[in-house]
Amino acid sequence: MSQHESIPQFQDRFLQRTAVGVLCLAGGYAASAGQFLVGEGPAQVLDVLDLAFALAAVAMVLPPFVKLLRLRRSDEWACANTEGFVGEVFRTACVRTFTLMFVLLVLAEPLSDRFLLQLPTNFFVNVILAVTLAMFSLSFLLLNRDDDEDEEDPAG
Amino acid sequence: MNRELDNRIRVFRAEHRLSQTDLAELIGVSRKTISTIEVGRFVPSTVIALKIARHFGVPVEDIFSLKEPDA
Repeated sequence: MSQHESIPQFQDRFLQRTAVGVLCLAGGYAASAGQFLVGEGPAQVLDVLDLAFALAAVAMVLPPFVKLLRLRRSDEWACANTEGFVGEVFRTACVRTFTLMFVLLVLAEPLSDRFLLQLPTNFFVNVILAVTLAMFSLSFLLLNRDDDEDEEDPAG
Repeated sequence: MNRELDNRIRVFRAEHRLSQTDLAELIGVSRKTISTIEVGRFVPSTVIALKIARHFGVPVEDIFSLKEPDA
């Protein structure tokens, strides 16, 4: 956090880092699911990859989260507005993710019962978590992308 | 662009010689919130709209208005 970063700017940055952290988690769950589909050698590589993704997710979210816990006690935090653009994008991504997770669960139920009997429940859980978390993160990052609204010279 | 809501924030900012960052800090939102409102990507809450209007000392209708339907 820079010296002059306002609370709303910090909130935006925290949400952005959370989205990237969630993408790392999605990668971890994908690696976990992949372990059920490959042999022992590649599965060990995926296991290491899973751990690397988990550590990356913690590294992305933990520092700003600690800062957030400290800032939440401040008066400035109490006055900050939480109805900004990035917060709205975050909520939109959450709603999309919930919808997708519901659809995937409905699809996974007959698949796991009839066609993919040899795969354990854990595989389906990991796949659904990987897809939905990736969907959340990518949806957020796409909606939050910078277009043409850059800062302009106030005198211009 | 939002198809229904027009705004004149950029005009008011220019008149008051404020950057997006300046206005964002005065209102208590992030710069991205101001910039996305200006270009019509984000429709602000009533609270944010009222804060912007109060900062410039004008009625909210002077800054935000509904677009006229095409004839």
